[in-house]
Amino acid sequence: MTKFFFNTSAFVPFANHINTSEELFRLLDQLSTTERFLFKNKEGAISQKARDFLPADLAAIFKEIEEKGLEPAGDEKQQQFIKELVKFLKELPLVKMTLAFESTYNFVSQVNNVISNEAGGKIILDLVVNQYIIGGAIFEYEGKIKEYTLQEKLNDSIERLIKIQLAQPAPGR
Amino acid sequence: MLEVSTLEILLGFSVGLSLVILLLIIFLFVKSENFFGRSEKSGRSDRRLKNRLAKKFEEEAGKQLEQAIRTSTETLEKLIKQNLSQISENAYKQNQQLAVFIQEQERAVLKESQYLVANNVVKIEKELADYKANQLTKIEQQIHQIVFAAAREVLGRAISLSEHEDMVNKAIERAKRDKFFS
Repeated sequence: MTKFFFNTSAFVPFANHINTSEELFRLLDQLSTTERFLFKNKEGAISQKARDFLPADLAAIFKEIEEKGLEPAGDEKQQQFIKELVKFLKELPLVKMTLAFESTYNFVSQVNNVISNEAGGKIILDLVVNQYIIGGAIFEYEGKIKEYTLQEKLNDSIERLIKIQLAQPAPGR
Repeated sequence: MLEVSTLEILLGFSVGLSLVILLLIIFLFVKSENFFGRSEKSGRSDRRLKNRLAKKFEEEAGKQLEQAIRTSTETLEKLIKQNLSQISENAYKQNQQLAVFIQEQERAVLKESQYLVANNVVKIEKELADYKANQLTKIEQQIHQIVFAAAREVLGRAISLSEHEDMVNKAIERAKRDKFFS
């Protein structure tokens, strides 16, 4: 487990803001851009320094941690803070989930909450759409893979039926 | 062939011996004729004696010749019998050897044939089993493809978004029960 210089509770709102790997990469990209604006020798919080470039949702999170007194002051510390935040986000466990359909944001958020609770910490969903699984989902987590799909059920049924058919003597024998 | 040659030699030898004896008797007879011829002058009584002696010689020579021929015939017969017996024995031995050889050859051919047949049977059985397994796998794959295609056609269009979400929620519940995320 990586040790962080800053209080990791400051990173949690950022992690909770995202659910999928796509959102994670977008956030990492935004944080990288933000980091570049901390060299301007400006006074104040990060949200103020990068005001012109921060998306509204991200600015709100920075505002939140500022208010909680979790954001450091000074360019160097702020820069280090963002570096650690990036590291923290990159270390979040990934759960690959294959679905048969394009899911909504709310549904993904709900699934992420359920799995995060089960895993005992925030996870990031790596979503893959594969219509061939027909229904249900395939999960990959920490090197394990498990299939809970209609395809799997169909497969089992077909194999059972074939075995029954093969066990019967051929007609005319 | 060797036995026949020996027989011929022996036969020739016997005939030769008989001829020699016969010639010897004739020679003695001629000599005696000469002897008695010279003493003809000594009188008629001698002639009678000469005739008696000549007759005796003739008889004796005939006996000798007969004896010689009989002996030679017996020897010859004996030798012929011996040779025939040996030839017969050799022929029997060769016949037996030939029979054994033929039996061995038969056994070898039979064994080889059995081995080849067994090998072929095993090979064909394996090929059949492989072919059967291969065909079964193909059929199984085709059935899977057909069923999945049908399922996608029917279910894929019929399943609504909420049903999809419901199935995913059920999948998560199953994963939780399996302690997949723990």
